[in-house]
Amino acid sequence: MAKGSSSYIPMAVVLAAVLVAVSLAVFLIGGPRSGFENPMNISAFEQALQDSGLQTCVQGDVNWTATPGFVYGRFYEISSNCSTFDPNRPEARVWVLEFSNLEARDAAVRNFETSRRHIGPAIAWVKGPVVILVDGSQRTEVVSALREAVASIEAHRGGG
Amino acid sequence: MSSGKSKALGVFALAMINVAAVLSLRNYPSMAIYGWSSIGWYLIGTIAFLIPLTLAGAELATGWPQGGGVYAWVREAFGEKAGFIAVFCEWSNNLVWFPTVLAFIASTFAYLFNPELANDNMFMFVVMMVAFWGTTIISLMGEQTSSRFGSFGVIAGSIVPAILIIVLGLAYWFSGQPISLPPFSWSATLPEINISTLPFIATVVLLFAGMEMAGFHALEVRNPQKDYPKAMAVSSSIIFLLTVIGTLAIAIVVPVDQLSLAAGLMQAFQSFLQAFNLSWLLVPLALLVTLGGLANLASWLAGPALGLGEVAARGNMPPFFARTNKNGAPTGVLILQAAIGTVVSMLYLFIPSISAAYWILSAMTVLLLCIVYLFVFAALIKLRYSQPDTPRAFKIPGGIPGIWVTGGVGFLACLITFVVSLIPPGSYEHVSTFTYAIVMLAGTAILALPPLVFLRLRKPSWNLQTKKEVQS
Repeated sequence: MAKGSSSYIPMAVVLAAVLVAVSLAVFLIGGPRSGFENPMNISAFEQALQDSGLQTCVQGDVNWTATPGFVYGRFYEISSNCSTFDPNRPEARVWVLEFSNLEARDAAVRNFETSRRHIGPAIAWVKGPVVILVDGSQRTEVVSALREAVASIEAHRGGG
Repeated sequence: MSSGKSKALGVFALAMINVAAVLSLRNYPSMAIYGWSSIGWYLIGTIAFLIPLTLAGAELATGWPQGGGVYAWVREAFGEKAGFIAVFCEWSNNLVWFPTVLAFIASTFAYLFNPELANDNMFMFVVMMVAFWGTTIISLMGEQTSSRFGSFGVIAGSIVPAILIIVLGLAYWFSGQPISLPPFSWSATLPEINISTLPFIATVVLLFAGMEMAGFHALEVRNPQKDYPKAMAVSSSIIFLLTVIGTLAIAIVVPVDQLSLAAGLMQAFQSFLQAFNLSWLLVPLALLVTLGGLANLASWLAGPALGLGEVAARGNMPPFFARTNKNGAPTGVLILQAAIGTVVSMLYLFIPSISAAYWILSAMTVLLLCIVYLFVFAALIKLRYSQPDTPRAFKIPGGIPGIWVTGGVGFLACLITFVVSLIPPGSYEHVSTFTYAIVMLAGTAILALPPLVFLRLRKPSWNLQTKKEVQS
């Protein structure tokens, strides 16, 4: 290796660049995830959905058997109007998943967010032990209404 | 960077480097959610990016079969600084992206013993480090060893499981059982493109990132002019067919409500295998998928490191970065990469606020990759004008219009991907689009621009090639 401190400066530059980028992401955009104790459950989501006027065209249980820490989950195909719902053109596909512990919940979110290089229009909300995922959706207005419905849960419960 | 030994790579080995870098079973469930329209989305990714990059890689690699791949191509077109920035973007993208690939490998490996281990950070860290440093050591053993490992890994860990999934999917289809998808229609295969789905273009384009990886191994190719085009054709065909048919096989067997990558890849495979009463295959499949993940890691780990080693060999970085061992592997770059990757992995696993913000970092890697590909497609076009007489064993057909269509489509796809990557995902409501875009651009610039610092600090003593010439 070349002698002299100048040889080490480029290495320090690389490491510093990575750490600065990490810090930027964390401190300027990132935020802590919801506390696990936040009293959220799946029925609160269903109530918010009903209150928002959105319709559930398809729903069912999520039967994951191999995922550690997974307790219970529901799947919904949401639409503004189920009479025009086309399963080949999903408007908003939502998974609401409950986990038994913080590590399992955060691992699920991490799996979801880093499964692809770019998650595109997918969304992951974390509320207490519950993770709400939106993926494969194709209608902006329905997803926007869904976003408001999820926000209203927070409002009712006073944060989290 | 060549070892000076006999050339190690032929068509098969080159093709497997690309397949290892691009083909990933992880994409199957996440794309299967899109049902029949996944066909249309894949076609968009293929036409807009896979085919242009395959053609560009073939022309550039046969015209400039020097070491360095992307670095050599961009340098020829736009000069040293641009080439350096391009290859550095690819390398620094790795530094941030490695922890997610490693976490995938570790969580899949946990299924061999107890899936609960995937939630144990210490287990994850140990497996991640063994995988990372183990793959680095294999890369240090030289092109021949890492190529053999990569070929074995991609065949056993990606191609064999993909074929298994396809065969089982076809068996399911022909057995007359009810499929999980709505009835087929051609219109159902057309993707719905609107403002809501536009960011998904970034996803499908980047599914095929890595097709340039074989270009980094130019110096070890027996007959680059003949072997490259064949390898590019073979690898892109394998990737396209296995990806599209594999995704549909998952989609027709597993109901959409059971598909979400929040559960990890193995949950999707569990649901798939249950349909055939083959749940016992889950553990062997986990082993194979782990192997495929390692091959994928090895391909991304070695390629850009070779490119950066070439940059250093030309005197743009201190001699540490140009250091090679008796096998011709860039020891300095590989070890520094492993060290920084270790630090980033620790931050990723053990600091909750970083883990929570990791999506933002992985989105920055998208921007870095876009910069690389924007340079590659621009170089493709530029070199047809600036060096029209340089012999290329493979030339994109159609003359100048052909090159503009190929390079232009690829460039545009990357530009769109770059722009949509600046839109925050729906769960980042607390940040304005403007703030998000500024932070993303600033972070990307910080990761992309260290070459300007290195070039500023450059000393004549760093140039080992000149030193050797003077000595001789």
